[in-house]
Amino acid sequence: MTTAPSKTIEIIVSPTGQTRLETKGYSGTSCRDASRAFEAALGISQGEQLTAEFHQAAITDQNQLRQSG
Amino acid sequence: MMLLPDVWRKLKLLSDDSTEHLQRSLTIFWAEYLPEAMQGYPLAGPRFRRKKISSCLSRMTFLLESCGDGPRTNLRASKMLKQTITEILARGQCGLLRASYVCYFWGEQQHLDRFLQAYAVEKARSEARRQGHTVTEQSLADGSIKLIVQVGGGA
Repeated sequence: MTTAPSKTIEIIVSPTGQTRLETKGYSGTSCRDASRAFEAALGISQGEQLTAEFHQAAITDQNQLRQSG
Repeated sequence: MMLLPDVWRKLKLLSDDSTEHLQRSLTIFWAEYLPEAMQGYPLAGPRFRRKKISSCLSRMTFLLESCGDGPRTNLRASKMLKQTITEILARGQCGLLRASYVCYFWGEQQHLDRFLQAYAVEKARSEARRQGHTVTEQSLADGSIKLIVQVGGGA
């Protein structure tokens, strides 16, 4: 039995008050849902960089579609 | 003049949890000197009357408790607008300010930066607590502060 990876959100606040937010342990678009509340609280987002976990989940979904199709 | 971290600590005395009332984003107007229009300006809102120091000593003043969500401000904010400077009034009326706490800051940039960092940390902590997550804090070598939010970790 495998345990699900722990989900964490890392927020780094620079000395000038700028913040960088990174999600870990999420798959696919669920990371966006998790970070949305923090993004709203911390101000206007200036950019987004998708992690490997996000793309990995997308590839898995495509494979599942192919197998079922 | 007081340093902003001291101001922040004093702001925490305003209520049991300072961020409880700062549920919306904070809009800050920066100026090198205390604007003339701000001198003697009373603190807005009854919850800020418990503040133990003069607003003129703190380098930071809340102009409005809240702005409206659109071009038209809410009734409470409209009463406050009579006492605010023209810039704030114009931004509120044209919708550039939306649902924000407005704060006027004067002094050195580095102090404002320190305040913004403290504010962001408190804001993130507050949001994590609200969602029932556990937060741990680390100070990094470059002066940044790292918050690790353990999702579903319990408060």
